[in-house]
This record gives sequence, C-alpha cells and structure tokens, in this order.
Amino acid sequence: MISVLLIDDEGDLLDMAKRFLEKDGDIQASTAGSWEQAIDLLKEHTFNIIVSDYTMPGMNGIDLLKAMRAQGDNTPVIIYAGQGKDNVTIRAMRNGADFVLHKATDPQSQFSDLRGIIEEIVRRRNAESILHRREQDFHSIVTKNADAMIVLSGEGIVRYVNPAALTLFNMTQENLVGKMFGFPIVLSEPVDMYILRRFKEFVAVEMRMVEVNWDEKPSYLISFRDVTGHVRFEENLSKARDELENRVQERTAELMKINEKLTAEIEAKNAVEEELRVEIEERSTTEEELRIEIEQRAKVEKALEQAKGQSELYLDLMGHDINNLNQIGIGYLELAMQASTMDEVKSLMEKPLEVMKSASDIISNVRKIKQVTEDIDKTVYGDQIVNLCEVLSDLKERYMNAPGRDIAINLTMPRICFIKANDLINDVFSNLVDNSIKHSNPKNPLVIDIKLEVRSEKQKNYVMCTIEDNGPGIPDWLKDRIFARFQRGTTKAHGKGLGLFLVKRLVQDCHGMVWVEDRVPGEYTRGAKFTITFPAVD
Amino acid sequence: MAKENGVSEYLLRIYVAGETEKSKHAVRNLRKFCEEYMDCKYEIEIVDLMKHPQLAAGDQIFAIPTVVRKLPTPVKKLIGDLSATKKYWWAWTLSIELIGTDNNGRIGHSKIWW
Repeated sequence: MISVLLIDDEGDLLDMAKRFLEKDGDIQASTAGSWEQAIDLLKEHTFNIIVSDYTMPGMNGIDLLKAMRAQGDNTPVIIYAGQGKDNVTIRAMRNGADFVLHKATDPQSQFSDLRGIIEEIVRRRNAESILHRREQDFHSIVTKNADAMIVLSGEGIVRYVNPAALTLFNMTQENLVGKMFGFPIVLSEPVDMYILRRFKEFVAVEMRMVEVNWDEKPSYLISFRDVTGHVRFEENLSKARDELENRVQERTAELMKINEKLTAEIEAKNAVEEELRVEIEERSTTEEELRIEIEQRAKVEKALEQAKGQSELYLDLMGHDINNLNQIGIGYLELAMQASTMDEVKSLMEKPLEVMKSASDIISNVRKIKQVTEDIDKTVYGDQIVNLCEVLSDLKERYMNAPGRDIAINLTMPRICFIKANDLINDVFSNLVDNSIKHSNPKNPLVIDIKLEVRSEKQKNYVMCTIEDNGPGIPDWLKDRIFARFQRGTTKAHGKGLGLFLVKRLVQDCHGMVWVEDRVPGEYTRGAKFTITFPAVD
Repeated sequence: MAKENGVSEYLLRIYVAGETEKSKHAVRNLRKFCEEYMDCKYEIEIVDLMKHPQLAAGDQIFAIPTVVRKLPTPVKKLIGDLSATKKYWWAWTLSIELIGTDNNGRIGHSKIWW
C-alpha cells in the first residue's frame, strides 16, 4: 500500500484525484487544502510520496518543497504545474523534486499518468533505500570485522582502513588513507605474505581480495589475517620434523654400521665354522684311518701273539727236550771215553763230545735271551745293584787256570764299583774272555788286560770297562757285524754264534754301550779291545 | 641490491624478506618476466628488508613482496602473489606496454591500472 499526500487549494480536484488514485485499492490518499494543513499532517504522518499543486495561496509548491528539504525530509515530491511553466519545472528539479507533472485537459489520462509516475518513483525510492541500507550494512561489516581490511582504489591507493587493520599496521587512518599500498595480485587465495607494522616489524599474514563498490566506486577490498602463530607453529613443526629426520638418518647410519659389522662378524664366523667343518672332516678321515690301522695292528698283534706262542713252544721243545737228549748223549760219550783204552778212539770221541757241548751252550744262551726279553717285558730287569769288582774277580779266578793254556789276566779296578744289573751280567764278561781264549792260538801265551774305572762326563758318572787281548784281532770289515745274531768270526774256533749278540743285548738292557776297536790302533792283527760302559750308581 | 643491463627504460625494485625460497622464487619470476617481455631495457633492484629494514619507510612499503616501478613515472606498486602464472604475466606485460599511451586506461579484462 502506497500512502500519498495530495495538496491543492481546489477542493473538487482533490476529491477527484483521491477517488481516482484509490480506485484500485493499492494507494491510500490523504488530502490537504492548504500548505498549512499539509505541514500539520506532515508533522504527524509520514507518506511514501507527496503530490503538491504549484499555485497555492500563501506558499507555492516549490517553497513547500524547499521547506521540507530544509527540514531533512527526503520524501519524494511531485509538483503539479500548469501548462507553459517550464521555468517551474527547472526550479522544482533543482530543489529536489522527483517529477513535475503538467496539467492536461483530460483529467482521466492525467490521473492515470500520475498513478504510473507515483508507482515508479516509490518503487525506485524503495530500491534506493534498500541499496543504501545494504551499503550501510556492508560498511558496518567491514568496520566491525575482526580481520584487518583495507579498501583500495583501482590504482592501489588506500581509501578506507578498518579498525582491525589500524591495529595490525599500528597506524592511524591519516597514516594510511590516500597512500599507495600497491595493486593486489591474488591468483589463488589465500596469498601468504608479510605486512610491515609501522614499516619495521614483520607480521606473517594471509591476504584475500574481493572486488567491491565502495561509496559507489569500483574498489578492491583486501583482508589480512595474522598467521604469525600458525607460521611459528609450522616453523616449529618443520624444525621438529627436520630434527626427527636427522635423528632417523643418524640412527639409520648407526644401524647400517652395526649391520656391516655384524655381517663381517657373521662372515668371519662362517669362515671359522667352514674351517672347523673341514677340520672335523679331516679328523673323521684320520680317525677312520686310525681305526683301520688299529684294527690291522690288532690283527698283526694277534698274529704276532700266535707266532710268539709257537716260537716259545719250539724254544721249550729245544731248550728242554733236545737239551735232555744232548745231556744223555754227552753222558754216554764221556762214559765211553772213560771205558775206552784206545787212544785213537778216544781222540775220535772228543770231537762229537765238544760239538754236543757247544750245542748245549747255544741252547743255554737262547734260553738266557728269552729270559732277558721276558724280564724286560716285566720291567724288572736291572733293578738289582751289582758290584762289578766282584764279578770281575770271580771271572779272573775262573779263567786263570785253564788246563793246557798259558793265560795271564791282569785286572785293574777300584775297590768297589756298582751298576744296575742282575746275575746275567756275569755272562757279558765271561763271553768276552771266553772269546779271547777261544780265538787265540793255544800255542802262544795269551795276555788279557781288564781295566775298570769310573769316569765323569757332563756331570754324569759312568763306569767304563776295557778288555784287551793279544790275540788274532778283528778285521775292520767285521767289527760292526760281530754283534749281529749268528755272526761268527774268521777263526775256525767253535762258537755258539749267539755270544756277542747276547753281550750287546745285555749291555743295552743295562742302559750301557759296547764296541770293539784294535788294541793297537790301525793294526788289528795285534789284538782286539772291547769297551763297555754303564751308568754308575752313586 | 642487484642491477642488470646498462641502458634501462624500466627501473623495477622488488622488496623481499630474507633469503627464503619464497623470496628467491619471487625474484626469479620477476627476472624471467623481464627477460621475456621487456627486451633487456630494464633494471632490477632487489631489497632484502630483513637486511635493510630502514628502506621500508622510504618507498612506503606496507606489504612483502612488493614490486615498485620507479621508472617510468608515475611510481606504481604491485603486491601479493608473484608466482609465475600466465594470467599475471600477461596482465603485467600489457600494463608495461601501454605505459605512456594510455596511463588512465582500464587494461583489457585484467582490470589492472598502471
């Protein structure tokens, strides 16, 4: 509903206009017959539009308009003037009239025009009012916004600064307004940048921009949001991330080193294990070979044992049964020799008797060797302490008075001389003296020199015994061989073949040594010299 | 500050804050643009306000980065996104080319006044 105030001093015209305008029901018209009446109404009511006649007594329509505008009343006004009053039109428009309508002869079409004009003016005024209100709202929004906002002209010059922006820049309106801020380039929002507070302090901000009309001029509204805290947080985050990254890298490097070390250790360990494995294999092979060898040795030992048993059986047979038969033979031969009166027969019988006695000696020696071997096996041989001086004295006694021979035995020795041996030691010396006698020419006198002395060498005492004779001697080629088993000398004298073998064996068993030399070095025919040494017993 | 080339029709000064990647990027883009569109008749001055804060007030620098066209006059300023996008370079190219002929004109549909 549009409210209209109609002012005219002609009452009929007023009524007609009111009726005509209110005809469609969307306009409500009030009427005033004079300007005084109109002013009274305006004091109490507001109207959407005023339609006033120009010519009225006392005050014309333009004066009324002036008075209204002077009062600040912006209500739209249409002046209604007579024909040919062009100067009225100009004056009315100058003084703020919204339209000047000239009176026409056809009132119906005139009122129809008036109605259209009223509606148009009111609609326009409403639109302007809405626009104005919106602009005011927009200004309020900008002014009261918490974000800093600046309105820039098209050239980038500051037109308006809101209070938040003044705070952000720490400047006054006068410092900023009219200054060239710069044309804003915003391609994708927000733009990260800095603003300078009082040209000194850097503040990290996000900038946004929008094109607006500000006080009816195309402008740019830019807003800044302080993101210092956010930036600081980002910086701290970035720093923390960098630190973490560094630590991860350091840790990774350490782990890699450890890994390399570990790999090297594992490789070394594998190498050692491989060596060990090879060694174990080799040892297994060796053990297997050893096992086979042990088995073979056991077989050999078994075979040896059997052979030994057999040899002992034969030895017993020979030593016992054959010796008994030999003794019987010797006995009969001696009886026969005593009973015979025939020298020729006696002479013939001496030979077999001698041969049989030699056989008995061999058997006796063989048994002694066996005894020595058995004693060694039992490790009892050489446990007795023997005085060698006694042994040699008995020896001299025994051989000095041999029948039919001229024998001199010279004995040089200390009073006592002990060695480790047993009773068989007698056989050593009797064998040697026996040999000297046996191999010498019975027609020549035989001299045997026996010397016994205790010597010291390298702080060890040993006993040395030399037996020299003036017999046929021993050629060099034979010297090494006479100690071998069944090796006989070059003389034709009978022998038991085991004598010197037995001597060497017995001496060695007493940890001693025996060897033969020429009595006169280089001249073997002038006699032999046997040397025997034993460790001395203190 | 750095100067490039002897004879200059354009004197451009870019204000940055510290030798950050963003600053370097902005300078690089400006240089690239000048090389591409300004036919070697330009000079670029780089001002690091972290090092020379006293220079901010002289040119009335309110925001960083800012590019100031010192020559030819009148002095113009550009703030904000100096990333190398076609639209930005295109707009600026036009403004540079039209200087002296239509100083008050609204340049194309980029709406940039220089």
